[in-house]
Amino acid sequence: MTTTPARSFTSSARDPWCPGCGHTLVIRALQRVLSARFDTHDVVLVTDIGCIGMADGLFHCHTVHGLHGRSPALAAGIAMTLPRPDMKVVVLLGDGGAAIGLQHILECARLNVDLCMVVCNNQNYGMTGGQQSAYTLPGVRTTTSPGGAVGTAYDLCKLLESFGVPRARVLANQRDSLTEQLDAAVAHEGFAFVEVLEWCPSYAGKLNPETITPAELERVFTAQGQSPGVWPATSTRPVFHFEPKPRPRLPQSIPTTGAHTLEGEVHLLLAGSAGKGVQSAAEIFARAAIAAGLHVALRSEYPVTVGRGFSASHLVLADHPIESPVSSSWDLALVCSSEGLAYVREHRGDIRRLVADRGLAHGHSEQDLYPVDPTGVGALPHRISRMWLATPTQHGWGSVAPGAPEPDPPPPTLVELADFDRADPKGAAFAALVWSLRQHGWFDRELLATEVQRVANPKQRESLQRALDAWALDTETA
Amino acid sequence: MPDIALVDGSWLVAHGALHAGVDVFVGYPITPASGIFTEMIKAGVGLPTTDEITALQYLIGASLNGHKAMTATSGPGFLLMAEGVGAALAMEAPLVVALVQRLGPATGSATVSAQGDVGLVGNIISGGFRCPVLCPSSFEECAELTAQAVNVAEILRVPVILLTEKDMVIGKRTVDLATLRLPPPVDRHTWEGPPEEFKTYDNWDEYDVPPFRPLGDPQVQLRITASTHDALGNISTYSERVRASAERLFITRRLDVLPLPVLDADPDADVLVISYGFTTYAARQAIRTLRAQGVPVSLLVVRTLYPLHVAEVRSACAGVRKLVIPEENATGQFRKVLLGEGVLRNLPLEVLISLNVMGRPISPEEIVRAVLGNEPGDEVTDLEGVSP
Repeated sequence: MTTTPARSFTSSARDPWCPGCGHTLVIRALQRVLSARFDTHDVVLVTDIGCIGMADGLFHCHTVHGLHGRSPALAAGIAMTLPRPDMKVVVLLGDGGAAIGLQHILECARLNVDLCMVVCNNQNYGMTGGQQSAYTLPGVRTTTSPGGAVGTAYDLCKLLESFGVPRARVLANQRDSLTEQLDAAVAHEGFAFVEVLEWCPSYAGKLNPETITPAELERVFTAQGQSPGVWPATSTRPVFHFEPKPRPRLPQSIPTTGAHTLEGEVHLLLAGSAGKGVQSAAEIFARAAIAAGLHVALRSEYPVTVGRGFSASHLVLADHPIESPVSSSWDLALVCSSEGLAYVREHRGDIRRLVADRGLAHGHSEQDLYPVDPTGVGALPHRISRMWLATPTQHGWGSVAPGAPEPDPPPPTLVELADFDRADPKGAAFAALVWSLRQHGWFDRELLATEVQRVANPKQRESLQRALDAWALDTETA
Repeated sequence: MPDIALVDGSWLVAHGALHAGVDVFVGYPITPASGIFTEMIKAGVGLPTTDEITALQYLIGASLNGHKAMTATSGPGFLLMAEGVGAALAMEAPLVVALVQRLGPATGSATVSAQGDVGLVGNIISGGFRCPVLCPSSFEECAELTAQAVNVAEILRVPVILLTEKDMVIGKRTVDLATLRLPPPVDRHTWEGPPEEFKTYDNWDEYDVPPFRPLGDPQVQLRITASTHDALGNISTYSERVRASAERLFITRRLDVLPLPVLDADPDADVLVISYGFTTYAARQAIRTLRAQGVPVSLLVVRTLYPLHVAEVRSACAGVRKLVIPEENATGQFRKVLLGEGVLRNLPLEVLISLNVMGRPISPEEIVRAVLGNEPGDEVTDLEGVSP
C-alpha cells in the first residue's frame, strides 16, 4: 500500500446516471480516497448489476463487472486469491444486489475477506423501473408498492454486527462524512462495510415527493431505526486469504505378491446394511485379489442415508483386464442382512448362487425364504442348508427398447445359509467374502490376512481379524 | 514397470486436475461428486464454500487472478452454477466444472448413476452459446480427460464441463498408473507485448483468444465484464462494433484441441455402436463378446460431446446399416445430438436402435441383444430426421 498519490482513478467516461443521482457523489468520493492511498494498478473495482453497476467505466483501475447480486462473492474470490497483499478490492452494489446477494455479504464478513464493500441504497431498483427492494423502508412508494412498501427493511449494519466488522451508514449528500467513512473503509485491512443512503431521483423521489430534501431523507431513515452512524470493528480476526499448497497424493501401489487360480471372471454381489462395512470389506478383499495378480472392478449401490438402509458392492474378479463391471447375472451373491436381502430381491438379474446369513431364516415369512430341501445338506458344510428364495423381481424403468417384452424371468435362485456374523455382526460382510474365498480358493487367504493387518483403525482391524479367524477354525473342523 | 492400484474415479479426476496445474478447487458437497472435493481438499488446493453459486464466483475470481480453477458437482448443484458458467464464458475466465451425473429430475436419486444431463450441458448458457463438454469413457480417461479439460479451458479461455457419472467416479477398479497418458500441462497464453498495446479482449491468438494478464498486473489495466463489450472491455450494447468479440465465443470451429472420438473398426462390420462415458465399458464388453462369436461389429467412443467432431463421427457411420446408441437416460439425448448435428444425413442407415435405460446401468448383454436384434421387439426404427 502506498501513501503517495498516484495517477487519478477518474476515467474520461461521462456519468451514466440521471441528474441528481447520489451515485455520482459516491463515485467522486471513492475516487478521491483511492487516489490518496493507492496506485491505480493496486485496486480492483468489482461492480454489480443495476445503475451503480455502471460505475466501472468511470474508474481508471482494474475493473470487473459481474452478475446481479454475485459481486460480493466475485469480489471475495478475487480478494482471497490476489497475488499481492498490498492490493485492494472494492465492491460496489445497490440495494437490489444486496438483497439477492445477501448471503455472499454475510460470508465476506464471516471469513473477514480483505474487501471494502459499498452498498448504495437508493430505495428501489432504478434501472428496471423503480421497483421495491428488500431495503425499501416501510411505507415508501415504489412502482411495485404503490400503496407503500410493506414489511421491515433489511438493516445490513445490524445484520453484520455479530461478525465484529467495521460498518458505517452515511448520507450521499453529506460529503465530509461520506469521504471520511469511505477512506476508513478502503484503509481497513479486512472486511469493511459502508452503506450509503440515497433517494433515487427518477422513481423514489418522484413517487415520494415529501422526501426530496437532504434533511427529510435523514429523518425518514432515522424514523425507521436506520439513522446514519459509525460502528468500529469489535473483532481482530485475521484476514482470510486462500493459499493453495498443492501436494498430490498417490494411492498405495499393490504389487503382485501371490498367485491365483481363477480362470476367466467371476461376478460377486455383496449385499448388506449401510454402516456395516460392506464397501470397506469389498475393498479389502479387492486389494488382496489384486495382490494375487487379479483384476478387480467394484460398483457400489446404496441410498443417500449414511448409516441406514442397504449397501451393496458388485465385485468383478478376473484374470484379464475387466471391461464392464455391469452384468445381468451374478455367479455368487452374498447376503449379510435383511436390508441386503431386500436389495437382492429387488435386483434385476440372474443370481446363480445365493448364500445368506443364517439369521435371515428367522423372522421371515415363507414369501421371503422357504425351504424346499431341508435335508439337502449333504456335500455342504454342516452349518449350511438349502433353501429357495422367491424369484428376484424385475425392476427398472427402462427396457431393452420401447415396447419390447421383458426377458424371461430368471429361474428361482438356490439359497444357502451360512453364519456370516458368528464372530462379530459388524464383520459379517467381510466374513461372507472370507467364506466365498474358502469355498472357491481363488487366492491364498494369507493375502487377505495381510490386507487386514494394513487396516489403520484398530477396532475395524480386530473385527475383520475375528471374521478371518472364525472361518479359519471352521475350515479345520469342516 | 506396472504400478497397480485400486482407485476410484474421484481420485483419478483429482489426479488429472492436479497434474494439469489446478491450484484452486472451490467445492460444495453433493452426492456423488463429493469424493472429488475431498480429494482436492486433501491435496491442499480445496476451498469449501457455502453453495454452488458462490463456488463459481470464487472460481471466476481465482481464474482472473491467474489460477487454474475447478469444481465438481452433480445435477442440482450444476443448475445453481449455470449463471456462473455463462459469466465465465462471457468474461473469458477459464475454469473446469466436473458434472457427475445422477438420476434426475430435481434431486432425483442421489446415489443412482445416470447419463441424463447430456442435453442440459449443451444448452446451459443463454444466447445459444456453448462451452466444451468432455466425457471420460474409462477410469484412465477420468485422469487424462480431466487434465485435457484443464488444458482446453486454459487454451480457449472458456469454462469446460467434464461430464461423467456416479458409477465412474464412485466405482473402483485396478488401474495401472504407469499407463496413464496424462497430457503435459498447458498454461494460458499471456500477453508479453508492450503494456501500452494491451487490450483486455483484443490481440487474439491463433485460437481467437485474447492473451491473458492477471488482475493485479502492475503494468496493464484489466477491464473484465460479463456484458457485451468492446475490445477494451468497455460495456457496449450489441452492435457491429462488438459483434466480432461476441461471435468469437462460439467455439464450434475450434475442434483441434478437443479429444477426438476413438473408432474400433471391424472392416467387415455394417453395425456400429456409438457410446460415451461409463456405458462404454458395457459397449466394449459387448463388442468383445460379439467378435468372439464371429459377429463383425464396430465401436465408436465419443469423448467430446460438444462441440461434436461431426466429420469424424460421420466418417465412422459411412457404410453402416445398423446403428446402436446405448444411453443411461430415457430419451436418447446423445442420439438427438447426433441427429441434430446432421451426422447421419444421407447415409444408407436402415435401423437405429436407441438403447435407453434409466435408473440402472446398461449391461453388455443388452447391447449384444441390440446388435444381434434377434429378440422380438428390440429393434426400434427411428429414422425421423435422418433422411434428407
